[in-house]
Amino acid sequence: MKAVRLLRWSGSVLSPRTRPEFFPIRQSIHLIQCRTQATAAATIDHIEEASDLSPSQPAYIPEDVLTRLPSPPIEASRTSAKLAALHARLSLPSRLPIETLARTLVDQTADHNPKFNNSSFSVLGNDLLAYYTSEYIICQYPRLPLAVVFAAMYAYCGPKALATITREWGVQPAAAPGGEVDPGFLQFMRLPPEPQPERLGPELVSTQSAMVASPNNPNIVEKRRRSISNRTVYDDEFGEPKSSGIEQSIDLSQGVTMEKASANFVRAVIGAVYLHAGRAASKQFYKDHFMSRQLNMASLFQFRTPTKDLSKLCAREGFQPPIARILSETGRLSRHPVFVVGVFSGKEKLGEGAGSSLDEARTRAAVAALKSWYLYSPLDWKLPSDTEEANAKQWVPQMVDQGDVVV
Amino acid sequence: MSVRPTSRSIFDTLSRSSPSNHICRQCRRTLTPQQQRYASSALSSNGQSPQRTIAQRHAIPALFQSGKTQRTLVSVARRDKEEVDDAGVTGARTWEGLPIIGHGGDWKDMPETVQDDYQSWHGTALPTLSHEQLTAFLFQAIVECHTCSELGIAETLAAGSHARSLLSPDLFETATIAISPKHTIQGVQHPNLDADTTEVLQEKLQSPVESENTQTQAENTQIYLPSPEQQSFLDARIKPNNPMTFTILKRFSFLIGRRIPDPLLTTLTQKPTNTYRHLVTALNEHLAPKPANVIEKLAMNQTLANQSNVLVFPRRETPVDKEKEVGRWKIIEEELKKRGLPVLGRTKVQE
Repeated sequence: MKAVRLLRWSGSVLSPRTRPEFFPIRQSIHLIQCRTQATAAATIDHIEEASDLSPSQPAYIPEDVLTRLPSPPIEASRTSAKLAALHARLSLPSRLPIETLARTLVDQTADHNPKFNNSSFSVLGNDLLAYYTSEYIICQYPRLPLAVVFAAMYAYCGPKALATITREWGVQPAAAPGGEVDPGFLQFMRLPPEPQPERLGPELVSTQSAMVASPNNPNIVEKRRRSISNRTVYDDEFGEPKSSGIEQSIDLSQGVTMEKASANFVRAVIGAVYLHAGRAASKQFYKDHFMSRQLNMASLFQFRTPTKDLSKLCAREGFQPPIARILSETGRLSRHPVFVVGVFSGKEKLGEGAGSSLDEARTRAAVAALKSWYLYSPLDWKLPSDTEEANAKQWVPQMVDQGDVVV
Repeated sequence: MSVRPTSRSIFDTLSRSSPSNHICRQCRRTLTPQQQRYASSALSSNGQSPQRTIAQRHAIPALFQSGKTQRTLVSVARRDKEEVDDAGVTGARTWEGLPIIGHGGDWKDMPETVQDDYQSWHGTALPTLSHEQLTAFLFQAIVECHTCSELGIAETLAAGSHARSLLSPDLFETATIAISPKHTIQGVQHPNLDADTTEVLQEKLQSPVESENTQTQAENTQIYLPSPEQQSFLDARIKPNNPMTFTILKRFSFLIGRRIPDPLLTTLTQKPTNTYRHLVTALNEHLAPKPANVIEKLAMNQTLANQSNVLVFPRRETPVDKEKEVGRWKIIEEELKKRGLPVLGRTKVQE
């Protein structure tokens, strides 16, 4: 497989960043906030002029100029102890410069200039994160129902999980963004406090199904229940409708929640690692920080009619219809009887469950049988992304089940 | 340590003249010591400031020029009165009613003397010596000691305390320190050493030692910097039991104008493989100027400087600094100003 030329990629994404609007042009060059990236391919005059300045001695910027900046200047990141500690704590590759790490901490609500915020990184990081997580889940559990896949995706790389990861990484939020803020803080514009109602009345809850018409999905009709297949095609990686651009722009002007800003930061870090250190480093970073998290897949299941599902499944797979048999019982006439029921398909026992009644035990046995089917994991499984490396083994297609049983 | 005494005889001060000038507190003019004494005494004797003109206040009375005791002052004052008698004024016969001339006896009215100047007991800051300078002085000391040893006057050199070079610079240029196979200093080879040099050396050694011993050679004359070949003596081992080592170290100590601390010497001589290079390095570190405050001390710490996650601030971090660091201070400032409250400190409560 042909390797992607990273330099060209990063040259377009990490173009030299200048912010001339905050300084009059007549001012000397040291007042112009000129930020360059190590991998920047393009050159402009500002860089040539700025290269005359010694990099070891950052230009002094007065405090009133700093407070007018929406985000810290690039020189500040070189002297930030917090940023250096974060770089070391995450074991980030040395090819990822500290200035880029500082940029990943600036949300687009703090600095609207896309050359200074992490929006481009987070878009790339989000796609990488979704790709790595989905292939991991599907290859490890090829028979998972799509609803469970969506739930597992949300548990691994959803906004809440990413906010938790941000907290675990020790990244603290800044109270308000600005140029005087330490670049080691996560900077975003907070949402304004919601107005308190004068009279507290009963909370109104809509009884209708909350369906949102998505402009990306022309087939969706409001108030119609969306199917799993519909979600797969039109919705995002978590099975949730994608937000429109208008909504995003409104959100940006108002502010953003800390959860969303944290999620964008983590995605931006992955994107920055991919751009600066390459595919292998980003994959390793993903393994270290995301795949190391344990998720109990069995807890994500919820069956409404497990016995019926199991019958349909056996019929679809060509097994004999399931039969529940009592394996053992105790205290049938007592106050606390216990029945152990097994679900058999012919002579094969599919599952076993215990309950205080025969129905409960049979249902539990059916649930156990369904989970054992859906949670099948091949002994030797390989990810498609592992074959992208130069000297990797050849890709062997893996079995992926046709999906869950629709009753 | 202050040397200003709390009590002192008035007359000692009066009979001594001080070279320092003083400023009149009222007119800000420079006073001579006599004027200063007169002004202070006039103020202290009356208990209130006399209404005089500047010329009167700064006039030097003839009585002060003699520098006599108080008794003399009174007699002189009486003679003044007698001179006025010519104008029809009765002269005073006793001292009663006369203004007391001289100071009131308070120590702070006395002009400063030489003894009043503060002399720090731990010495003034000596100029620092670089590694090259120390090497040059050590080379010079070894050459001089071995030369004197060959001439049989090593004991005279060891007993003396000359701080200046004994040999001419051309002799240092041609001198070579020979090192034995056991890595010790064997001797010094002088191709140009003649009888005249011996006589000059003996004369210099017998001449009295200069009084300004603290003024080292480094401050007065140029040092001969040994060539890289001549610096091979730095790899010679220090032999503590050799008497010549003591002579060399003493001569070296006089040349650099500093004592070599005993703990440093003990540490160096404990390990037999330590060379003169170790001595120069250790002495260079010892003579490095001490940091004046904590920030300098921490800034010199290379371990801290190499760690990018450590910041050393030159001052205490205040709560305002912490608020600025997270970007909250500008909001606090804006809200306080909006409410008409002071940003820092308090407003005066209007009654």
